[in-house]
Amino acid sequence: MNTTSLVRRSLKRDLRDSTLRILMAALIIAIAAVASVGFFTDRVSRALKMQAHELMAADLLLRSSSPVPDAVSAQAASLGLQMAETVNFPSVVLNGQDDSQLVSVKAVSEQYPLRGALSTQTADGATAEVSPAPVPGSVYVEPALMTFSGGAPLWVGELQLSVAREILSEPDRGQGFSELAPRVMMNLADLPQSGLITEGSRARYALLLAGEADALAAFRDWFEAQDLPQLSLRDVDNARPAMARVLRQISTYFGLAALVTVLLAGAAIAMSVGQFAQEQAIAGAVLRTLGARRRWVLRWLFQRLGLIALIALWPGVLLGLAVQALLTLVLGDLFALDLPPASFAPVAYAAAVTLLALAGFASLPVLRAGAVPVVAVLRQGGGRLDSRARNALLLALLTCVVLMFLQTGDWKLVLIMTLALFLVTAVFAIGGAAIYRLLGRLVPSRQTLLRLVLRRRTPLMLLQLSVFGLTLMAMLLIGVVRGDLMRAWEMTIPSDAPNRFLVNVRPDQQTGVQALLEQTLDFDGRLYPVTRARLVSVNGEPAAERYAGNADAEGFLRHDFNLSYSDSAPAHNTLIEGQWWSAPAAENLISVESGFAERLGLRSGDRLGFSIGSQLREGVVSNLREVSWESFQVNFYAITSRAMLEDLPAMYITGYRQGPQQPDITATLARQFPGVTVIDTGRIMQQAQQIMARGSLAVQSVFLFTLAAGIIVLLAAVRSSRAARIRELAVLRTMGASHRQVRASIWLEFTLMGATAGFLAAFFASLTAWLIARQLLEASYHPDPLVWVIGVTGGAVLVGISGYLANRGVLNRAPLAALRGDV
Amino acid sequence: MTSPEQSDNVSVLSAQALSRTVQGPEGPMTILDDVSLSVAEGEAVAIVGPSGSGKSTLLGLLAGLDVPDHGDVHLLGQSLAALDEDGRAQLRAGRVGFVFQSFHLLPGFTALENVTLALELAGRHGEQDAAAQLLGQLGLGSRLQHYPDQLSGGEQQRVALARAFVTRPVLLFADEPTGNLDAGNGEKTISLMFSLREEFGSSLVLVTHDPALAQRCDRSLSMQAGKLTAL
Repeated sequence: MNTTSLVRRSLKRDLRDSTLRILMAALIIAIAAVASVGFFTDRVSRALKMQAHELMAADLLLRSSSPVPDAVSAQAASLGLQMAETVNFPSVVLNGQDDSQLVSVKAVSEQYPLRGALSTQTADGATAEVSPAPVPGSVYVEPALMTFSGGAPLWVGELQLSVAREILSEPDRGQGFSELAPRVMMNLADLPQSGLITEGSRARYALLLAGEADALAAFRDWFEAQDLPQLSLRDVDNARPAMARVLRQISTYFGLAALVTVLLAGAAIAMSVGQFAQEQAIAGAVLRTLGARRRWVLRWLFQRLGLIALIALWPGVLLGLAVQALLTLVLGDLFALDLPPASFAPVAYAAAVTLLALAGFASLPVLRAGAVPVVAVLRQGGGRLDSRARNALLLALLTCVVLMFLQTGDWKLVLIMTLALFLVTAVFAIGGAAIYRLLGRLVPSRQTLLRLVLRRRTPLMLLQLSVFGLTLMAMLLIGVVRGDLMRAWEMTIPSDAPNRFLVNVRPDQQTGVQALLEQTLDFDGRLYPVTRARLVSVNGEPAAERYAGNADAEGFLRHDFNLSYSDSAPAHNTLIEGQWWSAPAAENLISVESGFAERLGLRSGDRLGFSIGSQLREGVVSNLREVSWESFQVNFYAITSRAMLEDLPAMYITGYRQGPQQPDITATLARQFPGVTVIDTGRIMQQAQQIMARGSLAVQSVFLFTLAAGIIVLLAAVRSSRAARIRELAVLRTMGASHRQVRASIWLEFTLMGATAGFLAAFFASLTAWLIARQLLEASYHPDPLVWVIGVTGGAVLVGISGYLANRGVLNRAPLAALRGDV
Repeated sequence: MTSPEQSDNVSVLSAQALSRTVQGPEGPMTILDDVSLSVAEGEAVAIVGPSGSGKSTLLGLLAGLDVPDHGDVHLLGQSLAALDEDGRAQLRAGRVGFVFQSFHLLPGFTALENVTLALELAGRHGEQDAAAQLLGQLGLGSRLQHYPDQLSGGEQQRVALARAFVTRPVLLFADEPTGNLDAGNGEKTISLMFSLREEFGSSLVLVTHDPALAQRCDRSLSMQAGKLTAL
């Protein structure tokens, strides 16, 4: 006989079976969690791939902090490649009313962009999907600046440029902090007259290339043979490394949250399938007495579970789609990409993960059900499956590990996560047991029901308590404690800490700027000369070789950093090794920040070589300084003696405090000192906080799945211990407990479990916050009482209601039937 | 008094020198000790004995639900020792019926589906009418679409009877069929069982501790401390 028709007939009943409904809910949540994260990351990564050329506005991109050498352009031209140039830098523009605005300037050559399209519209609303670069004498601006300019010309440095068009989209718009300011796009030909860029200015130069694949490959070969360390080459595979990194982080964090959901759902799957297997064991044996083969019975059982999984797939996917829509809404514009519609790939992945979870957590109980000796039908209470089942536990653990690896692709992370999960679960379980034991001692002996509830400290109950505790703790950390930590950190910033930074001050502007600051703001600091440099050698050994494989150090080698010179030690730094040089030192000496020295393994006496533009400079480390970065003062990793840098072009920077009562000098600075850029750190921090708040909201929405999975685990656990609970309550009833008392005992049991989990969650969330505050932020943290209120109340309400609803049916059982074992 | 192996006609079931030992807390315990018996075509044999005497173990071995430590069973002319578990299941399909003390209806199936299932496992599809008719004959015509948990104990056992007889089995095994029923329902079930047996000409091996019930069979055997003797 074919099992299919039997499976079909079983289905109607299976869909109404409470055990299988729990199984289905667990599968739906697992699928939804994996699919939502999958859909979101898939859409963003496909957009990144599909739009890679547009994201660079070229096929190949050369970037540098100094102008790209002519030899490079000449080579590209000789290979017949198309070329365009861009220069990016932060600056300040003024409108007709002398109001100032920090902007991100991009000066482009006429050929820009080589790939993708610049889309703009005119003041009267005429849209051009493909616009040429702005002509000399005009700028294009982003919508935020249209209001600011009021359509009138803007002062960009020393030039007044007309606002020709509004930018709707720009192919290679960056996402860094310096790019948060609205865009002003100007013609490259206007740049020299603007006076915004002089030697040493903080600008990013790019040469954009496009053309035939052969010519591009030939150019790449030529470039790699050259020694041009100041230039970095990008192609479509690493078009947006920062964005790819953000995406990788998001997919890892969300993936881990989804994974925790899958593991919890796995626990619910294991419990409900265990219950299902128990219920089906005798049915299978009866079928075998009627002539069915064992394999046939197994097929019947597995097909039923498979069908349930197939049915659960669709609501799971739909729920996943809904949540990814929410994630896209909250986080989508961080990527500034046109996201393609969701593809089917995440559905397949979610289905595979779920099937794997089902197979890993469910196959052994079902196999055991199929293997119950057929003679069990003749025994009273025959067909009991061994609940210890060590093999099933091992297979479940193996499944967890494989799932974790699938999600992270990193064995080390899997190991750390496994250990961390065990450890934290154990800590919660031990904490829960201790609280129950303590309450047990405190409760008076006449409180029989409460004492009974407190004695229900089974390992399963403690595991459930841990699951809820952990989930609540994660929610509290993200939802409540994050804000507290942010506030605690803000409190650590000294009240006189600078809240504005001035960059790109030319040497000839230094005295004037200093005087303006002193006159209007009681400024008592100084301006520091800054040269962009890259560390290229240590004691004569190329830095690239010395630090190969050292990711920590390589981060410093990839980018230029600010190098300054000074005759005296900065007042807010502390010397911890060596002496400051006596001014003016004739030798090339260097003072190194202690953390920088530690990461690069530098000591006093080491010879450091820097590449500065096209020059190379060497100096000897003479002392180490400790820098308090939280002071928000201008600080440097390396400060040299005057002799080492003085003859090189430099720009000056400084930080100052703009008090609320003091006159805002931003406009004055921009007007009197063209090219000088004011960076408002208060506004940047506000934007960063907004981004963090959105990120938290997104992570919380993924954690809701975890919470739902926790409730399903509770339902599964209640279902699997239902028979024992019915018997226990029946005994209570026969001993004279009223219906009301029995109901109260159920409420009490689950409310207490939730409150304990919430209490522990609040405790560990506060402890974590305190540790972060003390160790990382060096701030004092005062736990918010709200954490405790939300933790304890939230846990009690959530678990109390879930537990009561799950047990409602148990309360209506007649005690006699229960005692006969007729349950 | 007759010997357990006595049988006048062709035997549908015979067992030779069956023994079964299990490991107890104080060493091996003999449950069956050199038991032999034979059941003729159409014959009804009762096995009586107190609880724990090994009656159900013997029934399990005779029906091929379990295997003996020693000895062999020939069921419908086939040696069970030569068959694996699936082979034994196939041998039973459609030819051997069961009635259990705990009814053992499949909870996810209606009364009609429970009965039809026995036909389908015997490869007889599309005979739902026969199943419905038999249920009607047993007074369950209005209960065809009811699930086991919607039926009383007596009704459940009658569905089990229908399931056992719907294939017109050559041999029926009944294990304490009235053990979970009140006197009224028990009597009704037994009457129906015997009348169906007669109608279909099935042989019967009935395990019971009720001497009155045993008397309704052609022959009674007594199980005492693992030994089977004729009464």
